[in-house]
Amino acid sequence: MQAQNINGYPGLLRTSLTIAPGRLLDHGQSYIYLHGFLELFPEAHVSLRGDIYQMVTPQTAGVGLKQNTHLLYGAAIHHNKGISDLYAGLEPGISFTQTQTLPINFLPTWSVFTGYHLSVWKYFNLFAEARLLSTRYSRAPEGNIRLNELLFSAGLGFQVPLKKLCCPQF
Amino acid sequence: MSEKRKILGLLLVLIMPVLPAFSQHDFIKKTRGGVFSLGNRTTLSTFNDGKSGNRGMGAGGQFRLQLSNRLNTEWFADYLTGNEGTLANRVDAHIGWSVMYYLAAPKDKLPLFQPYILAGHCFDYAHLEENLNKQNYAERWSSAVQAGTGMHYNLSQRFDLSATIQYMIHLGTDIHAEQQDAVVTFVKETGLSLEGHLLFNLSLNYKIIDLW
Repeated sequence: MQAQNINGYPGLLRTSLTIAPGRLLDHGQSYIYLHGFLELFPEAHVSLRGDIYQMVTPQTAGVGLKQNTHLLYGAAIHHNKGISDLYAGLEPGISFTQTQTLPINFLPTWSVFTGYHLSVWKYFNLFAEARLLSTRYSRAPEGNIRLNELLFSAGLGFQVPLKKLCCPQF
Repeated sequence: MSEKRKILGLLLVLIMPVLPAFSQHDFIKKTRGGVFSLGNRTTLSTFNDGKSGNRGMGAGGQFRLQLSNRLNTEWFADYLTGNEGTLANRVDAHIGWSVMYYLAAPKDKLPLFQPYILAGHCFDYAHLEENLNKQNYAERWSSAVQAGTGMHYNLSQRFDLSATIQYMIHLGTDIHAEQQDAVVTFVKETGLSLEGHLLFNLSLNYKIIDLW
């Protein structure tokens, strides 16, 4: 049975680049990230997705992150109806993290996220998203440094309905 | 050609190889043998070497190739970091495979919950290091076997969230840290030991194509 095509799903390709503030929950520090993502809907209510967060505000105080990049990959389920889309997902990945005193380390990471998209036009949407990310810097002299973080993104997204443009097999 | 068409063309070239696989029509040819899935995984390792305080957390990827309606195979790689006592840390990398057997024969449509048992083998690389002295470390490659049980939560006919619990037993050399006061020593032991890791995996998987 073919899935109902709701506002370009399935076959919708979404992307965005925005600024995302993040709060380290164990250290009470905030950082700013550039957040980009690419998302494809192979089905009406399921998307496959990749995210990248690049920290742009290194700090010397507290845990003193000098470099922090999260590369995440996963999927989300969507409650989408008309122009509205409420979603939640799970994305593990890897973080490249360095402090002012410790070398760069590759850290396994997992995250859960939820958000809302509002399609304002065929090719554009407005979105807001919250993500809880968990990782820890191991190999520190004092043991593991917890880097659990709450990230928030919002902004303008770009979307392309591939089914209508080129790929009717969706 | 306009800039807009050039950008769209580049995007399509990048994803075109896999687009035909996402057809919404029923993708199962004859049986479920031949179904190829791609997925990610998160791993939590507890009770390392019998010590409940030594926990590891990791991430990785996997693919599945189903052989028949009730038999599936999973091929995975993951990377875990954790503590080894209070003065040392460890990194584990696993690359391996498991055979999964579904407890109930699937009908035409996959059920919401699909339990299975699984067993398999992997190669395990471990690197243990003292936190305060990076020169004090030990590492080894070894073989391991794992077995356990799991459940697919089929969110759609192609997309599942899977949870497994497995016990992994090392074969060959095992290493662990011993602490006396503030002195860390790494001990290598050869032979079969029943102490290993209790692993919890959570994965998201998508059925890409039915190969045969």
